[in-house]
Amino acid sequence: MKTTVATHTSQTDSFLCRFHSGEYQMLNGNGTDFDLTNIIDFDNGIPGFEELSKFIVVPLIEHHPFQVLQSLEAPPIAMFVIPIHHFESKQEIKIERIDLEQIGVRSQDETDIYFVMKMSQEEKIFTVNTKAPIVINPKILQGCQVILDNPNLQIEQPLDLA
Amino acid sequence: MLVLTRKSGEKIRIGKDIIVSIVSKGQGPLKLGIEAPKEISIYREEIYQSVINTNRHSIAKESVRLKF
Repeated sequence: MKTTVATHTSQTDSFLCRFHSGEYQMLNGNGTDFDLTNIIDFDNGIPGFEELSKFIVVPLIEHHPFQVLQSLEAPPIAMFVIPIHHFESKQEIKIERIDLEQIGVRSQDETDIYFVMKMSQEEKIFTVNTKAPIVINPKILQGCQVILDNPNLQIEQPLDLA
Repeated sequence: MLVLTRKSGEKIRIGKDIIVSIVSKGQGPLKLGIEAPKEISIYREEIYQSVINTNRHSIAKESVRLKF
């Protein structure tokens, strides 16, 4: 069965309005109220955006499993992400204990892990960053982007659109 | 940038918590040992820069259609 997944257009002005009213506007027009009580703290930001520390993860309900990592401090900063179990990575993703401790967990099982996606229809780029996953402790809402040591993991792993 | 000359076995202290040691210096690449508090992440710079670059290019700017 073929499914077409349409995803989010970011237009700064109109997006800011939608953000402030608590509604996340989808390309297909369906609004999704997102829960501002689930704000995740990224104490060290993420590489390239070290000053941003407040994010939410917005599920795209009609476009499961894709989600959006959304900055609350700079709304244009929004990235598509995918939970890692939905993506067939040839390499095992193993988060070091030191990084797990940073977000207050003892085991990787207690975390939600996502890959950031780089997607451009125009440039025909569809890749997934398996080298630097987003790791979140959903209980205390702490998150970080971890850069893994494994040299076989790619920062731009092609997304296989079969 | 501070430039220091060190011999094998010598160290550099950064702030109160970070120590960089020259582990070996023979033929081939230099080995550095770094002791730092666990809260401080240590990366090869080119990899960190690649992640910065990819993050910046991952910002959603346009609508995307995916077919499965």
